[in-house]
Amino acid sequence: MSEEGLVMTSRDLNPDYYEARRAGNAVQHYINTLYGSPFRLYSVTQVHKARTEAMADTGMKYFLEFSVKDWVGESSEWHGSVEVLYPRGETQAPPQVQGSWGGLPQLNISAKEQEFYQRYSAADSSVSGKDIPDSYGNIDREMKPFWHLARVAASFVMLNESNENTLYNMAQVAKITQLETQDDQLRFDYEVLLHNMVSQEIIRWKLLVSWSPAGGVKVLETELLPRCHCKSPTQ
Amino acid sequence: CVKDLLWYLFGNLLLLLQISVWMKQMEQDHPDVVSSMIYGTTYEKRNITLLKIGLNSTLPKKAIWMDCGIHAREWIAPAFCQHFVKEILGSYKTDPKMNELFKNLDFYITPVLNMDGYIYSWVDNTTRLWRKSRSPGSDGCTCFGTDLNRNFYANWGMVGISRNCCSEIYNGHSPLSESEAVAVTDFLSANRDQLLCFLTIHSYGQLILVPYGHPNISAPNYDELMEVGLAAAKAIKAVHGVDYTVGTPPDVLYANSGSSRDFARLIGIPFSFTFELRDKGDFGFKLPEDQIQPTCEEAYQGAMSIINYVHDKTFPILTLYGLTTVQGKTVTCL
Repeated sequence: MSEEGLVMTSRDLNPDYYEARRAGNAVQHYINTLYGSPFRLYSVTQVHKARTEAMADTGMKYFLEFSVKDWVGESSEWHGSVEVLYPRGETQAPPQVQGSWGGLPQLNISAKEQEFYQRYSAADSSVSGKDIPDSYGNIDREMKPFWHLARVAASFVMLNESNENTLYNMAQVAKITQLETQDDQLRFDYEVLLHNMVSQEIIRWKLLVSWSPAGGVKVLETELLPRCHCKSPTQ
Repeated sequence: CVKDLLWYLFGNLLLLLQISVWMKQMEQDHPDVVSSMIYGTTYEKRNITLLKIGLNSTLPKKAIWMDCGIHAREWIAPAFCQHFVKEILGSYKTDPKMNELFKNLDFYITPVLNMDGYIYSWVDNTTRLWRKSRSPGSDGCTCFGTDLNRNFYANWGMVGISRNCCSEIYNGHSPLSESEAVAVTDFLSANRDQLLCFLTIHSYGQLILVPYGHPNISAPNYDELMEVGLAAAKAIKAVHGVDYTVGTPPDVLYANSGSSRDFARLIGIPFSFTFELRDKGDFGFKLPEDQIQPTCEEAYQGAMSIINYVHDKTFPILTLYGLTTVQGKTVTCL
């Protein structure tokens, strides 16, 4: 083996196994931060091929071929390829994702977005809600776009928190409160519960989120909330 | 609220009262094949009950074990156990294959193993995502609960656990510190010669997991377990097109130790599987009502695929020509 071979070891991965799944999960969050909306949300449906390569100084790089679709709009599946670099280091830093997304299905949602925007940018609009979905998995039809929006916003955090030992999904929206529209952006205070499959922990985050059809989803502030150490109810 | 009623009607498992009422109902409706057994108690002193289902026999019978709801928040699991019971009871009189299973096997089915945790998860919205048991912490730790699926005497404490009692994967003060894990351990140990198959039902992830949770330990029949698991995944996919991935936890999910599935395999129960039902994270633990029925239907086919394999392997059918037939394939001359 050459000296270069010793430094940069490339390894084929089983695309169904945990490494490829976790990397695919990070890619899903990344795509949603770029293209997610109250009316568009992507899911990586499958990883087809995966390879990993240790990048001597920078970290661990994953090369994936995968399928993804917008499941809100029920788009067709798109087959893409991507590189995910998990940086080396002791402190958490988000993976760097590189891909070309020109072929990603982006169904026309401008009419829906405009209608939604018009409706909730009215001066007296003050949407609020909690526990979405409820304990039984129900979501009011009217709240669905807010749930999608929460998942997009949560994707920013989930991406930031992703590393080779995480697999994040948003478990629920604990709270949503609409704030005053500012600079033509709808603004919301969200409290979301994230589930990390690997540790099985539920992690609570407070997010200040803005959105408009033109501005897209922006996460302005994030705050990690302390664990709820709920006491046993007296019986 | 109408939606609550819908869940209740569909899943029909609400609280402790409803669970025991339902189990009593099954016994009353099918007294010739159903009996219940209390085989342990929870921390909060609730009974842990299973349904024993099968045609009566004077001789000891081989058996299949199924438990649901070892993790409280995985509500689809107890719903599945209920669906499974309903399906087998509804078909054993008319379906000759099921009748044969009832003749040769007993099903031991625990609809809700972690009773304390499950009831706690129904208290309100702040408790919905509870996972563990409800025993108090020890050694000054103020949090509650042990992860029952890390508490078994199967490489306990080796990997995939936390020693912090506030963690969701806290494996307990010591192995079998939890009475729920003791109940299962005692039953499996007492019946290990009868038990052919151990199925434990969880959510979410759409996985069929084979032993072991430790990356460096392989089950002696790994190849066969994978073959049977893959056949089950195929049977699942045939129902509604949903993909389930098959493998050991270190391969497809994460390493862990102290699981009930590993304990079952370690004491010699040859076919031991964990089912992780729908979905893959969109709703996670809070699977919507319209997915309960399809999830149960597909998982049922997956479970029956395994059970039929295990049965046919143990009770091969002799044909006229003296050939042994296993699962319809001629195997060998006697």
